[in-house]
Amino acid sequence: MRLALAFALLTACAASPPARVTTAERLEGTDGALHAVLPLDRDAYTVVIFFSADCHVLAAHDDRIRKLVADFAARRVRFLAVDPEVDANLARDRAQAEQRRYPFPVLLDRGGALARSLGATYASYTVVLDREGNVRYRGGIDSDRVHLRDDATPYLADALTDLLAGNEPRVAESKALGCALRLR
Amino acid sequence: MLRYGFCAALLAFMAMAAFPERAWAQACCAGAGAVTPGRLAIHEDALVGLQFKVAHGFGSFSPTGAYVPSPPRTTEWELEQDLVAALRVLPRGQLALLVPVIQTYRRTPNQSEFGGGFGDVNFSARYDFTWAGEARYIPGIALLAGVTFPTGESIEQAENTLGTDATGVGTYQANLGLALEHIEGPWLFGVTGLVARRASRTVGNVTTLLAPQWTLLAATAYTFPNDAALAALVSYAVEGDPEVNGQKIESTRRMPLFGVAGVYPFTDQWRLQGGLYFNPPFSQLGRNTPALVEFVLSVLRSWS
Repeated sequence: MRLALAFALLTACAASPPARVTTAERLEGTDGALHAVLPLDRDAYTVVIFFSADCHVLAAHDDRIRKLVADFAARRVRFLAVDPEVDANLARDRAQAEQRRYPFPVLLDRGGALARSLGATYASYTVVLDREGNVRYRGGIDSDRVHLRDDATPYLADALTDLLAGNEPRVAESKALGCALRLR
Repeated sequence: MLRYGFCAALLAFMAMAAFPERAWAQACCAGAGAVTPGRLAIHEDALVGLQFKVAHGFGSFSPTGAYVPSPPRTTEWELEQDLVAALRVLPRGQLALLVPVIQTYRRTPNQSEFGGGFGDVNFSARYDFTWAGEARYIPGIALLAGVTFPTGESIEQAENTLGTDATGVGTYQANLGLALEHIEGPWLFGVTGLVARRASRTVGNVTTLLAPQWTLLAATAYTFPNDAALAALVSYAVEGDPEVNGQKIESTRRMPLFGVAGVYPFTDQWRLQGGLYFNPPFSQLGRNTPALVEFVLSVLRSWS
C-alpha cells in the first residue's frame, strides 16, 4: 500500500510541469523564419499548441483553432504551433500548415526541449504564456476530442477571455485529450 | 463443452479490445490489451459497458488433431452478457472487472436443454511502462495480470442433464501477460503473450490439475480519422497434459483462433465494439478443443 502511494506520488510529481518558461531559444518555423516562443513586444500572451502532423484529434480542432485566432489575434494574443516529435519534418509540417490553413507558423522543437519544459506529452496540449514566461493556462483546447459538440467547454477561449479581462483563468489547467507525442 | 473454447475466445477478444489511442495516422482502440474487453485508451479515466456474445460450436478437434464436424442432429449455442468496467488508478495503470452471465442451449438426437446463470468473474490489471507511439523505436510495453474467480457453477455442480447450467470452470485462474505494440501511421501492430495457470480441482476423490496454458496473439489495426478502427488477429494457445491424482494424462490441447474486430465511436464518450472470431476447421491446427464461431458486440461509455 505504501509502495503504491509512493509510486503514485512519484508519478504525479514527475508529470507536473514547471509554471514558467525561461528559454530565449528561437525555433525554426514553417514560414522560414526563427521565432521566439515568449510573447513579442506587441503581444500580451502567446498560445502554444503542441502539434503532431499525424494527430486526428488536433485535426478535428482545426476549424476551432482558426476561429480562436480570428477571435483573439486582434486582442494581442499570438498563436504558435510547436512540433516536438522526434520524426518531425519541416517540409511535412509546412504542407500540413498550408493544407489546414493555419494562420500561424508551425515551429520545430528539435529534441523536444520546449515540450519537456512545458510538460507536453499530447498533441493538442496547449499552453498560454504571459510576457514573463509564466504559464497561465495549460491543457486542452476544449473538452472535446474528435466528435465536436456545441456544448463543449471552451477551456482555452475562457482562459484567454479571463486573462485579457485582468482575471485569473476560471480553469487554469485541464486535460488534453489528444494523441501521445512521439518525443523519443 | 464450449467453456474452454470460450476461454480462448475471451482471451483473444480481451487482447483485441483496446489498442491505445493515437491518431488518424495513429492506430486506435481495436487491438491488443489482453485480460479484459474494457481497456482504457490513454486519455480515458474510466469506462463501463455491456458486452453480448453468441457462440456456436460446429465441430471439434480430436486428440490426434483431426477436425470432426458436429454429429447430425446435435447443436450447441452459448449466449453471454458481460458487465465490463475499467478504472485508471495510476497514470499508466488500470484495473478492470468482467462479470458474465451465461446461457447454453444444447441439443442431442434425443434431448434438448437450455440453462445458465452467473459465470466466473474476472478481475484484471494493466500497467503500460511505455505507450505505443511515445517513442520511435521503443514499442508500447505493458504488463497484464488477471484473476478469474470460480463464481460460476462448475460442471459437477450442474443439475441439468446436459450440463447447460454449468457456467464456470470450477477453479481459480491466474493470467500473466506481456503486450508489445507499435504504431506506424494509421496502423497498429501488437503481439501479446499470455500464460494462464489454473488451481487444482477436487471432485469426489479425483484431483485434476490443468497444465499452464500459453497463448500468443498477434493483431493489427487500422484507425480512421473519426477514431473508428478495424482489426484482424490470430492467436494460438497451447496447453500441456493435465494431471489427475498426480498422474499425467496425455491430453495436450492446441487452440487456433482467427478474428476480425472493429470499434465505432458515436461520440467521444460512447462507442460500439464488435468482433467475429472462429477456430479454423482444418485438421492438425487444433487438438482436444471444440471449434467455435463467436460474435461479440459491446457498448461502452467512457469518461476522460
